[in-house]
Amino acid sequence: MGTNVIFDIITSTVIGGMLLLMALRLNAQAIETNAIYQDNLNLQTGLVALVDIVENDFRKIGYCKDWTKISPPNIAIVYADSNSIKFLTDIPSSPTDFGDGIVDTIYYYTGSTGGNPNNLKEKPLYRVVNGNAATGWNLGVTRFALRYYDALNDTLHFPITDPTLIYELEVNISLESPAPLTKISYHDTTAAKEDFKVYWKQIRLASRNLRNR
Amino acid sequence: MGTGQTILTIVAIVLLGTNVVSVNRTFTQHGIVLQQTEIGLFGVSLATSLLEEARGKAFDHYSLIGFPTVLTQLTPQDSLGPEPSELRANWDDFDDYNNLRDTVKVPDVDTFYRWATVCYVDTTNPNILRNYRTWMKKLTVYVRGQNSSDTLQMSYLFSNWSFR
Repeated sequence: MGTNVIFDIITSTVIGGMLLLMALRLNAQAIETNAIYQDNLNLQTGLVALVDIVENDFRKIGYCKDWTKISPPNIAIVYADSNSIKFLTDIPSSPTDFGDGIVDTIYYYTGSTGGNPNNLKEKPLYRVVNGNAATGWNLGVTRFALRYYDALNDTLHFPITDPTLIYELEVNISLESPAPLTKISYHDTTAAKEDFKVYWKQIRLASRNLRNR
Repeated sequence: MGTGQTILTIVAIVLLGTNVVSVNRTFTQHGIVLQQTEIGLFGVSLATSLLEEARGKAFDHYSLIGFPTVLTQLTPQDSLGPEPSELRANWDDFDDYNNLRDTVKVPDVDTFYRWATVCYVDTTNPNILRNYRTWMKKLTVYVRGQNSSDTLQMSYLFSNWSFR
Protein backbone atom coordinates (compact mmCIF):
# COMPACT_ATOMS: atom_id res chain seq x y z
CA MET A 1 0.00 0.00 0.00
CA GLY A 2 1.37 3.33 -0.98
CA THR A 3 1.40 6.50 1.06
CA ASN A 4 -1.40 7.93 -1.04
CA VAL A 5 -3.68 5.02 -0.32
CA ILE A 6 -3.06 5.27 3.42
CA PHE A 7 -3.66 9.03 3.24
CA ASP A 8 -6.93 8.41 1.35
CA ILE A 9 -8.11 5.91 3.94
CA ILE A 10 -7.31 8.28 6.82
CA THR A 11 -8.98 11.22 5.06
CA SER A 12 -12.10 9.23 4.19
CA THR A 13 -12.30 7.89 7.75
CA VAL A 14 -12.15 11.43 9.13
CA ILE A 15 -14.74 12.73 6.66
CA GLY A 16 -16.92 9.67 7.25
CA GLY A 17 -16.69 10.23 11.00
CA MET A 18 -17.64 13.87 10.60
CA LEU A 19 -20.61 12.94 8.44
CA LEU A 20 -21.66 10.33 10.97
CA LEU A 21 -21.46 12.90 13.77
CA MET A 22 -23.50 15.31 11.69
CA ALA A 23 -26.11 12.64 11.06
CA LEU A 24 -26.27 11.78 14.75
CA ARG A 25 -26.56 15.44 15.68
CA LEU A 26 -29.30 15.91 13.10
CA ASN A 27 -31.14 12.93 14.50
CA ALA A 28 -30.82 14.21 18.07
CA GLN A 29 -32.01 17.66 17.02
CA ALA A 30 -34.94 16.15 15.17
CA ILE A 31 -35.98 14.15 18.22
CA GLU A 32 -35.71 17.18 20.52
CA THR A 33 -37.56 19.43 18.11
CA ASN A 34 -40.28 16.87 17.73
CA ALA A 35 -40.63 16.61 21.51
CA ILE A 36 -40.87 20.39 21.84
CA TYR A 37 -43.47 20.68 19.11
CA GLN A 38 -45.46 17.81 20.54
CA ASP A 39 -45.33 19.45 23.95
CA ASN A 40 -46.54 22.74 22.51
CA LEU A 41 -49.30 20.97 20.61
CA ASN A 42 -50.38 19.13 23.76
CA LEU A 43 -50.50 22.44 25.63
CA GLN A 44 -52.59 24.12 22.97
CA THR A 45 -54.95 21.14 22.73
CA GLY A 46 -55.24 21.01 26.51
CA LEU A 47 -55.97 24.72 26.72
CA VAL A 48 -58.66 24.53 24.07
CA ALA A 49 -60.31 21.55 25.78
CA LEU A 50 -60.18 23.24 29.17
CA VAL A 51 -61.45 26.60 27.95
CA ASP A 52 -64.25 24.86 26.09
CA ILE A 53 -65.54 23.32 29.31
CA VAL A 54 -64.97 26.37 31.50
CA GLU A 55 -66.50 28.76 29.01
CA ASN A 56 -69.52 26.54 28.51
CA ASP A 57 -70.10 26.31 32.27
CA PHE A 58 -69.52 30.01 32.91
CA ARG A 59 -71.81 31.09 30.12
CA LYS A 60 -74.65 29.26 31.81
CA ILE A 61 -74.13 30.72 35.25
CA GLY A 62 -77.60 31.41 36.61
CA TYR A 63 -79.40 29.54 33.85
CA CYS A 64 -82.19 27.13 34.74
CA LYS A 65 -84.81 25.67 32.47
CA ASP A 66 -87.31 26.56 35.17
CA TRP A 67 -86.23 30.16 35.58
CA THR A 68 -88.16 30.66 38.81
CA LYS A 69 -85.69 28.40 40.61
CA ILE A 70 -82.80 30.86 40.28
CA SER A 71 -84.56 34.11 40.86
CA PRO A 72 -83.38 36.80 41.05
CA PRO A 73 -80.44 35.70 38.85
CA ASN A 74 -77.84 37.56 40.87
CA ILE A 75 -78.01 34.82 43.52
CA ALA A 76 -76.38 32.49 40.98
CA ILE A 77 -72.84 32.97 42.26
CA VAL A 78 -72.66 31.40 45.68
CA TYR A 79 -68.98 31.83 46.39
CA ALA A 80 -66.26 33.76 44.57
CA ASP A 81 -62.56 33.91 45.22
CA SER A 82 -59.44 34.67 43.20
CA ASN A 83 -58.96 31.06 42.13
CA SER A 84 -62.23 29.36 42.94
CA ILE A 85 -65.89 29.91 42.21
CA LYS A 86 -69.14 28.15 43.08
CA PHE A 87 -72.28 28.91 41.15
CA LEU A 88 -75.78 27.70 40.39
CA THR A 89 -76.68 26.42 36.95
CA ASP A 90 -78.73 23.76 35.23
CA ILE A 91 -76.88 20.79 33.79
CA PRO A 92 -78.98 18.92 31.23
CA SER A 93 -79.73 15.28 31.88
CA SER A 94 -79.34 14.45 28.20
CA PRO A 95 -76.99 16.15 25.72
CA THR A 96 -79.88 17.15 23.46
CA ASP A 97 -81.72 18.96 26.23
CA PHE A 98 -81.12 22.53 27.44
CA GLY A 99 -81.55 21.57 31.07
CA ASP A 100 -83.70 19.48 33.34
CA GLY A 101 -85.14 22.27 35.48
CA ILE A 102 -83.23 21.11 38.55
CA VAL A 103 -80.71 23.54 40.02
CA ASP A 104 -77.15 22.21 40.05
CA THR A 105 -74.06 23.58 41.72
CA ILE A 106 -70.66 23.70 40.06
CA TYR A 107 -67.56 24.44 42.07
CA TYR A 108 -64.22 25.17 40.37
CA TYR A 109 -61.04 25.31 42.41
CA THR A 110 -57.35 24.61 42.02
CA GLY A 111 -55.45 22.00 44.00
CA SER A 112 -52.05 22.34 45.55
CA THR A 113 -48.79 22.62 43.64
CA GLY A 114 -45.88 20.21 43.85
CA GLY A 115 -47.44 17.23 42.11
CA ASN A 116 -44.96 17.49 39.26
CA PRO A 117 -41.32 17.76 40.39
CA ASN A 118 -40.30 19.08 36.94
CA ASN A 119 -42.69 22.01 37.12
CA LEU A 120 -43.49 23.05 40.65
CA LYS A 121 -46.01 25.67 39.51
CA GLU A 122 -48.33 23.08 38.04
CA LYS A 123 -51.56 22.33 39.91
CA PRO A 124 -54.71 20.37 39.15
CA LEU A 125 -57.96 22.15 38.37
CA TYR A 126 -61.03 20.58 39.92
CA ARG A 127 -64.67 20.74 38.90
CA VAL A 128 -67.15 19.53 41.48
CA VAL A 129 -70.79 19.07 40.52
CA ASN A 130 -73.40 19.02 43.31
CA GLY A 131 -70.80 18.19 45.93
CA ASN A 132 -69.88 14.89 44.30
CA ALA A 133 -66.33 13.60 43.95
CA ALA A 134 -64.01 16.18 42.40
CA THR A 135 -63.16 15.71 38.74
CA GLY A 136 -59.69 17.04 38.20
CA TRP A 137 -57.68 17.89 35.12
CA ASN A 138 -53.95 17.86 35.22
CA LEU A 139 -53.26 19.57 31.93
CA GLY A 140 -50.45 21.73 33.24
CA VAL A 141 -52.55 24.51 34.71
CA THR A 142 -50.31 26.97 36.52
CA ARG A 143 -52.82 29.77 36.86
CA PHE A 144 -56.57 29.88 37.18
CA ALA A 145 -57.24 33.44 38.19
CA LEU A 146 -60.61 35.13 38.42
CA ARG A 147 -61.49 38.78 38.77
CA TYR A 148 -64.94 40.15 39.37
CA TYR A 149 -66.62 43.41 38.46
CA ASP A 150 -69.82 44.99 39.67
CA ALA A 151 -72.50 46.64 37.55
CA LEU A 152 -70.57 49.90 37.55
CA ASN A 153 -67.54 48.13 36.08
CA ASP A 154 -65.55 48.49 39.29
CA THR A 155 -63.30 45.68 40.48
CA LEU A 156 -64.59 43.80 43.49
CA HIS A 157 -61.84 43.23 46.01
CA PHE A 158 -61.20 40.02 47.87
CA PRO A 159 -62.61 38.61 50.02
CA ILE A 160 -65.94 39.03 48.29
CA THR A 161 -68.51 38.97 51.05
CA ASP A 162 -71.48 39.64 48.80
CA PRO A 163 -71.28 37.63 45.54
CA THR A 164 -74.64 39.03 44.45
CA LEU A 165 -72.79 42.20 43.43
CA ILE A 166 -70.90 40.35 40.70
CA TYR A 167 -71.95 41.49 37.26
CA GLU A 168 -69.04 40.46 35.10
CA LEU A 169 -66.00 38.31 35.56
CA GLU A 170 -62.63 37.81 33.97
CA VAL A 171 -60.98 34.44 33.58
CA ASN A 172 -57.23 33.96 33.19
CA ILE A 173 -55.90 30.49 32.54
CA SER A 174 -52.25 29.62 31.99
CA LEU A 175 -50.87 26.25 31.05
CA GLU A 176 -47.22 25.28 31.09
CA SER A 177 -45.33 22.31 29.73
CA PRO A 178 -44.72 19.51 32.24
CA ALA A 179 -40.96 19.90 31.89
CA PRO A 180 -38.66 22.75 30.80
CA LEU A 181 -37.54 22.71 27.20
CA THR A 182 -35.41 24.89 24.98
CA LYS A 183 -37.51 27.34 23.07
CA ILE A 184 -36.63 27.13 19.42
CA SER A 185 -37.75 28.19 15.99
CA TYR A 186 -39.91 31.29 16.29
CA HIS A 187 -38.82 31.83 19.87
CA ASP A 188 -35.32 32.83 20.91
CA THR A 189 -32.97 30.13 19.66
CA THR A 190 -30.37 30.94 22.28
CA ALA A 191 -32.78 30.85 25.20
CA ALA A 192 -32.08 28.63 28.15
CA LYS A 193 -34.46 25.83 28.96
CA GLU A 194 -37.70 27.10 30.36
CA ASP A 195 -41.32 26.13 30.61
CA PHE A 196 -43.41 26.48 27.51
CA LYS A 197 -46.41 28.58 28.29
CA VAL A 198 -49.75 29.22 26.65
CA TYR A 199 -52.48 31.23 28.23
CA TRP A 200 -56.02 32.31 27.76
CA LYS A 201 -57.48 35.55 28.93
CA GLN A 202 -61.20 35.82 28.65
CA ILE A 203 -61.94 39.37 29.59
CA ARG A 204 -65.23 40.30 31.12
CA LEU A 205 -67.17 37.20 30.40
CA ALA A 206 -70.58 38.62 31.15
CA SER A 207 -72.98 35.78 31.61
CA ARG A 208 -76.27 36.67 30.00
CA ASN A 209 -78.11 35.42 33.06
CA LEU A 210 -76.13 37.69 35.35
CA ARG A 211 -77.49 40.68 33.48
CA ASN A 212 -81.12 39.78 34.00
CA ARG A 213 -82.00 41.90 36.95
CA MET B 1 -8.89 9.23 -5.37
CA GLY B 2 -10.14 8.17 -8.76
CA THR B 3 -12.84 9.88 -10.82
CA GLY B 4 -15.42 7.26 -9.84
CA GLN B 5 -14.76 7.74 -6.15
CA THR B 6 -14.94 11.51 -6.55
CA ILE B 7 -18.31 11.26 -8.25
CA LEU B 8 -19.57 8.88 -5.56
CA THR B 9 -18.40 11.28 -2.86
CA ILE B 10 -20.11 14.23 -4.53
CA VAL B 11 -23.34 12.25 -4.94
CA ALA B 12 -23.22 11.21 -1.27
CA ILE B 13 -22.67 14.78 -0.11
CA VAL B 14 -25.50 16.05 -2.32
CA LEU B 15 -27.82 13.35 -0.97
CA LEU B 16 -26.90 14.15 2.60
CA GLY B 17 -27.29 17.87 1.99
CA THR B 18 -30.70 17.38 0.43
CA ASN B 19 -31.74 15.26 3.36
CA VAL B 20 -30.58 17.85 5.89
CA VAL B 21 -32.36 20.67 4.06
CA SER B 22 -35.51 18.59 3.79
CA VAL B 23 -35.55 17.76 7.50
CA ASN B 24 -34.89 21.39 8.35
CA ARG B 25 -37.71 22.55 6.09
CA THR B 26 -40.13 20.06 7.63
CA PHE B 27 -39.40 21.25 11.14
CA THR B 28 -39.59 24.89 10.16
CA GLN B 29 -42.99 24.31 8.59
CA HIS B 30 -44.08 22.40 11.68
CA GLY B 31 -42.99 25.34 13.82
CA ILE B 32 -44.83 27.84 11.64
CA VAL B 33 -48.05 25.82 11.86
CA LEU B 34 -47.79 25.68 15.64
CA GLN B 35 -47.06 29.38 15.77
CA GLN B 36 -50.11 30.10 13.63
CA THR B 37 -52.35 27.99 15.87
CA GLU B 38 -50.99 29.73 18.96
CA ILE B 39 -51.65 33.12 17.37
CA GLY B 40 -55.10 31.84 16.43
CA LEU B 41 -55.80 30.90 20.05
CA PHE B 42 -54.94 34.38 21.24
CA GLY B 43 -56.90 35.89 18.40
CA VAL B 44 -60.02 33.95 19.40
CA SER B 45 -59.48 34.96 23.02
CA LEU B 46 -59.20 38.64 22.09
CA ALA B 47 -62.19 38.54 19.75
CA THR B 48 -64.49 36.76 22.21
CA SER B 49 -63.37 39.10 24.97
CA LEU B 50 -64.59 42.04 22.95
CA LEU B 51 -67.84 40.28 22.04
CA GLU B 52 -68.46 39.38 25.67
CA GLU B 53 -67.71 42.92 26.74
CA ALA B 54 -70.06 44.38 24.14
CA ARG B 55 -72.94 42.06 24.85
CA GLY B 56 -72.86 43.14 28.47
CA LYS B 57 -73.95 46.62 27.36
CA ALA B 58 -77.37 48.01 26.57
CA PHE B 59 -78.86 47.41 23.13
CA ASP B 60 -78.98 51.10 22.33
CA HIS B 61 -78.26 54.41 24.00
CA TYR B 62 -82.00 54.83 24.42
CA SER B 63 -82.20 51.51 26.31
CA LEU B 64 -80.32 53.16 29.16
CA ILE B 65 -83.24 55.41 29.90
CA GLY B 66 -86.15 53.31 28.72
CA PHE B 67 -87.27 50.39 26.61
CA PRO B 68 -87.43 51.40 22.95
CA THR B 69 -90.71 50.51 21.32
CA VAL B 70 -90.41 52.33 17.98
CA LEU B 71 -87.47 52.24 15.62
CA THR B 72 -87.06 56.00 15.54
CA GLN B 73 -86.00 55.90 19.18
CA LEU B 74 -82.85 53.98 18.18
CA THR B 75 -79.55 55.51 17.16
CA PRO B 76 -79.59 56.40 13.45
CA GLN B 77 -77.48 54.13 11.29
CA ASP B 78 -75.08 56.95 10.45
CA SER B 79 -74.46 57.72 14.11
CA LEU B 80 -73.52 54.23 15.30
CA GLY B 81 -70.48 54.56 17.52
CA PRO B 82 -69.57 56.15 20.82
CA GLU B 83 -71.34 59.34 21.72
CA PRO B 84 -69.23 62.51 21.44
CA SER B 85 -66.80 62.87 24.34
CA GLU B 86 -67.57 59.33 25.52
CA LEU B 87 -64.38 57.53 26.55
CA ARG B 88 -63.67 53.85 25.95
CA ALA B 89 -64.05 53.04 29.65
CA ASN B 90 -67.48 54.63 29.67
CA TRP B 91 -68.97 52.93 26.65
CA ASP B 92 -72.44 51.91 27.68
CA ASP B 93 -74.23 50.56 24.66
CA PHE B 94 -73.66 47.92 22.01
CA ASP B 95 -73.11 50.19 19.03
CA ASP B 96 -70.35 52.14 20.80
CA TYR B 97 -68.03 49.46 19.44
CA ASN B 98 -68.55 50.61 15.88
CA ASN B 99 -65.23 51.60 14.30
CA LEU B 100 -63.26 50.46 17.34
CA ARG B 101 -59.55 50.05 16.63
CA ASP B 102 -56.94 48.93 19.10
CA THR B 103 -53.66 47.07 19.31
CA VAL B 104 -52.88 44.38 21.84
CA LYS B 105 -49.33 43.21 22.43
CA VAL B 106 -48.94 39.70 23.78
CA PRO B 107 -45.36 39.10 24.92
CA ASP B 108 -43.57 36.19 23.19
CA VAL B 109 -46.48 35.69 20.81
CA ASP B 110 -47.45 38.56 18.55
CA THR B 111 -48.90 42.02 18.22
CA PHE B 112 -52.60 41.91 17.44
CA TYR B 113 -54.61 44.51 15.58
CA ARG B 114 -58.27 44.47 16.47
CA TRP B 115 -61.08 46.36 14.86
CA ALA B 116 -64.86 46.14 14.92
CA THR B 117 -67.96 47.29 13.12
CA VAL B 118 -71.58 47.48 14.24
CA CYS B 119 -74.48 47.75 11.86
CA TYR B 120 -78.19 47.11 11.64
CA VAL B 121 -79.15 43.85 9.99
CA ASP B 122 -82.31 42.33 8.60
CA THR B 123 -84.24 40.66 11.42
CA THR B 124 -85.19 37.69 9.29
CA ASN B 125 -81.80 37.26 7.67
CA PRO B 126 -78.95 38.64 9.77
CA ASN B 127 -76.49 38.25 6.90
CA ILE B 128 -78.16 41.14 5.11
CA LEU B 129 -76.94 44.56 6.27
CA ARG B 130 -79.52 47.34 6.39
CA ASN B 131 -78.83 51.03 6.08
CA TYR B 132 -81.87 51.81 8.16
CA ARG B 133 -82.78 51.05 11.77
CA THR B 134 -83.93 47.53 12.69
CA TRP B 135 -84.38 45.63 15.96
CA MET B 136 -81.16 43.73 15.43
CA LYS B 137 -77.56 44.88 15.48
CA LYS B 138 -74.57 42.91 14.36
CA LEU B 139 -71.12 43.37 15.82
CA THR B 140 -68.27 41.98 13.76
CA VAL B 141 -64.83 41.79 15.31
CA TYR B 142 -61.69 41.34 13.26
CA VAL B 143 -58.35 40.30 14.74
CA ARG B 144 -55.12 40.09 12.84
CA GLY B 145 -51.75 39.19 14.27
CA GLN B 146 -48.70 40.87 12.84
CA ASN B 147 -47.32 37.44 11.92
CA SER B 148 -50.56 35.65 11.22
CA SER B 149 -51.46 34.50 7.76
CA ASP B 150 -55.12 35.37 7.99
CA THR B 151 -57.61 37.68 9.68
CA LEU B 152 -59.93 36.21 12.26
CA GLN B 153 -63.54 37.34 12.07
CA MET B 154 -66.25 36.74 14.66
CA SER B 155 -69.76 38.16 14.81
CA TYR B 156 -72.45 38.55 17.39
CA LEU B 157 -76.10 39.46 16.92
CA PHE B 158 -77.86 41.55 19.51
CA SER B 159 -81.62 41.94 19.48
CA ASN B 160 -83.75 44.31 21.43
CA TRP B 161 -85.35 42.28 24.20
CA SER B 162 -86.38 42.61 27.79
CA PHE B 163 -86.48 40.16 30.63
CA ARG B 164 -89.78 39.91 32.47
